[in-house]
Amino acid sequence: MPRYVVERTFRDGLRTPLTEEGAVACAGVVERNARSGVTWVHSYVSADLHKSYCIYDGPSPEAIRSAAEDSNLPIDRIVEVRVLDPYFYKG
Amino acid sequence: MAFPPDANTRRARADVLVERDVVLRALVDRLDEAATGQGHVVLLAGEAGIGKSSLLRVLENERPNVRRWRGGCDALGTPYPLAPLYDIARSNDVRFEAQLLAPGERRVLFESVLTDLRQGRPTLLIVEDAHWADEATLDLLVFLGRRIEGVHCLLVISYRDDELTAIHPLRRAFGDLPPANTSRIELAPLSPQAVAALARGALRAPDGIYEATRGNPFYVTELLRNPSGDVPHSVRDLVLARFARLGKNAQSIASLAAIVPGRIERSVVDALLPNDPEALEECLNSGLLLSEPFALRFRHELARTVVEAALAEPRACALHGGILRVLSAQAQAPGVAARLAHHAVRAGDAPSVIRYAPAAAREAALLGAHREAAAHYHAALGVPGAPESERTEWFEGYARESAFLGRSEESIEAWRGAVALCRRAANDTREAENLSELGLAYMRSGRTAQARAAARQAVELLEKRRPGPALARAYRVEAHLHFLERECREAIAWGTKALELAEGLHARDEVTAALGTVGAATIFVDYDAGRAMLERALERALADGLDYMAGVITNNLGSGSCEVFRLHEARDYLQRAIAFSDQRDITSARWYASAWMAVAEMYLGRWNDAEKTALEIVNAAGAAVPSPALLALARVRIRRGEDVGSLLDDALQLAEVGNTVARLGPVRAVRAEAAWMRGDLPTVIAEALPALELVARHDDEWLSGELSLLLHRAGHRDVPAASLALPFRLEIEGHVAGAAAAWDALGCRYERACALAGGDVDAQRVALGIFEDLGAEPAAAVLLSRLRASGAVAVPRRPRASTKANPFTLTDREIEVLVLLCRGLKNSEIAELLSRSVRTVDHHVAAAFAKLGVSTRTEAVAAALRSGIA
Repeated sequence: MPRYVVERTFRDGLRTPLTEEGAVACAGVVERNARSGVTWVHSYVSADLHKSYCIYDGPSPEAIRSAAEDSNLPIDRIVEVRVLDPYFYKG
Repeated sequence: MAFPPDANTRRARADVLVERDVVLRALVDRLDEAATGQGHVVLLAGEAGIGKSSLLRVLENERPNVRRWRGGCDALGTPYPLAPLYDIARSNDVRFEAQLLAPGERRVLFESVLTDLRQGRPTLLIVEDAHWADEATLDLLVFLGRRIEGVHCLLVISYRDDELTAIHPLRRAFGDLPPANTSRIELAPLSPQAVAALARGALRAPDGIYEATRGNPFYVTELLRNPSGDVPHSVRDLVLARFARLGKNAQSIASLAAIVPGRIERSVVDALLPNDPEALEECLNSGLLLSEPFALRFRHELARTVVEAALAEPRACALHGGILRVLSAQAQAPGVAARLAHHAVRAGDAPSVIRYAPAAAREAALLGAHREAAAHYHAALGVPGAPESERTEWFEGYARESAFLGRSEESIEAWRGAVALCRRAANDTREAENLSELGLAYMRSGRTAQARAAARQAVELLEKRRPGPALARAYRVEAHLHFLERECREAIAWGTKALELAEGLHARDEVTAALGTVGAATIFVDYDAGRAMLERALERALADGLDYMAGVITNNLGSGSCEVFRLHEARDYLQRAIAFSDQRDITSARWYASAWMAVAEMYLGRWNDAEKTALEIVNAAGAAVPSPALLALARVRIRRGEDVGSLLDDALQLAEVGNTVARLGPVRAVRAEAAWMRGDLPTVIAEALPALELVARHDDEWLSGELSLLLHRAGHRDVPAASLALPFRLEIEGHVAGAAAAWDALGCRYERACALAGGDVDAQRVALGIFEDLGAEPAAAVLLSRLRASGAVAVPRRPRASTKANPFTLTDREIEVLVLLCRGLKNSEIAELLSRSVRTVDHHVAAAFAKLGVSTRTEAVAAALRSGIA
């Protein structure tokens, strides 16, 4: 399954409190992703909480768009990527 | 970049619904019932963005075994006829496609849609955005809705109720659906709790979102997907902010998509814009556009209209022009003309408007979408400098379609326009044809003098040339105008000329039409001869498949019979007319027939039936109610001594629009009767005398009779001489028994009693019985006091109102048993029919006998018949 980086902008900041509420919210996104056959691997969030770069596995960009639509998450860009590991050549 | 065909992903993907469980459950239940053969119509209402489409997408996926037909109506300036059927045919294997692609008789197409629905798996038929539906689609929905019982189909019609004005055509269509098989569901906005939950689901703070959106799901979704910091104050700001963030090429794609209501084909985008997959992806990522197989569309129509409205005019014009170029180069398919016309008007491209709008108009007219046809003709006529020969045709088309829509002023203006153009082109025949039409249009709006002049001019023009079908038609229009004025002898003379000419020319349809006109007028002079002619015309019309004409002729048989008091015949014909127009969904003919049915029932003394029939039409037809229904209702209420409210003023207003003797005379008669009941004799004379002066010159001895009798009763002796129908004449001349017998033979109980009330004490006692039996309280009260005052006989006080039809205080059950007994049923048969034991029936019979004071079944039957119980 191809891997994608999904770039998102949250101008009013991303809200994921380290509480039960934050856990429920994230679980909800994961669950809705599953309906489109999409896996949220993890995300990198900018220090000001306004940008996120999310690593996703999914069948197609369309599936990722669907999942985002279900969770009302914004998308700026979807880029298909391959893993490049710096220690790969060290064998 | 290539996308996988997304139908599968889309179907597998569940929309997230919040607070729609109850509604969804109800819809699924209806769908399950429909699958067992209990067909049903659901009207799904809600404001824009409330989530109608999402709900329906979920419903579609709830029952995978059900066949899914889904079609939508688009926000084209003038929608193209039957757009939802094209959607359905595009994505399903349907048998009606053949009829759809080869436009012909609309009825055949509707029938074949129904046949498709009756075969194969149960169907969920969704028609979205019906507030934009064209007239043909509305007719289709009514057609299907009325026949849905027993069909394995759930028909869901979604619409924005906040866009329906009081006179929106959709409202009338809904009124025509059978209430027993129709339900309405309204989608409410989301609660604050639901909005907060949605916000948290999107990893956002819920502050202020409910307040800004008022719980509109589309607005909530847009807001949550919007990355900007502040909370914009409208959907418009949101959508435009999102649009503004797009790159230049992506904006071009979105702008192009915005000016095409519904979806835009990928081929059109490719033809007009450089291939830029990244820009397209940007549009999709932004959430503004969705990709469909071979097409793009806005995620929501609300967003499309916002972007469309924001486009600068020159830019929009250029885009419309581009789309016009691409579409016109593509193969011509049904419905394309309407799209081309839409873009041509908006591109300001006059030659294209001239080319496509009339084509779209003809297509719409053929499918009975009169509103759309008129709009297209109007657009074509608005182009300056079009060739006059074509403008003539457009005027004619616009006039015809406007007449269908009841817009008489537009119709008259357009016929005049056509006449003027024909005159300039020295095309006499066509000018005359249009003059005849103009005459009829004038008549419909009550301008008799102009109508006459136009019809006469047509005849004069045509008589100068070789006689052809146009002349026969002009003669017939003359005949018809005379008939509406009840100048029946002139009508017959003109009609006969039309008939003879048409026969000589072997113009078959014209012969049938002329027979119908002559027959309708002859009924007033010689009933049996007129009736025979109409019967012959009806046979011919039916044999030739002239449905509309057959409906009109059946109606004329009914109303004509009623006007000359052949009431039993009238009921038979009107029943046929009602069944005929119901089968063919000719609503106006149905109302006309029912209105006259109410009149016939009223004269036959079936006042409850008359009231019920009349009220049905008044409620269904609103302002378009035929005046006989109002008059029948008013008469029943007057004779019962009930308040008539504004009924008679409404009826007068309606009649004054037509302003013909046939319309005005009866209204005046009823108003005079109301005055008589009030004891207001000057008003009786003021209403009836001018009317009689008008009617006396014409050939309607029944109307003359009624008006003369009212004047006679009011003591006015200086009455214009007129030929009067027999029962009225006998009554005026004082032949009580003769008049009573004549009324009896016609089945008119109230009129018979009125005649008897003028006789001796014995006659008056019979009259009193009839009045009380009918519930004619004012007449009964007057007669009772007269009998008492005369002192000749002691007349017992009788029970009032509620027992008026039941002088023996029989219970409902006893009456029911008596009625069956009168039909010759044995007690055991009655018991079976009513699902009661024989003992119970024996008991009811015994009780009824005791109250009637009889001891045998024969006596009971006689008593029941005498008192009007059975």
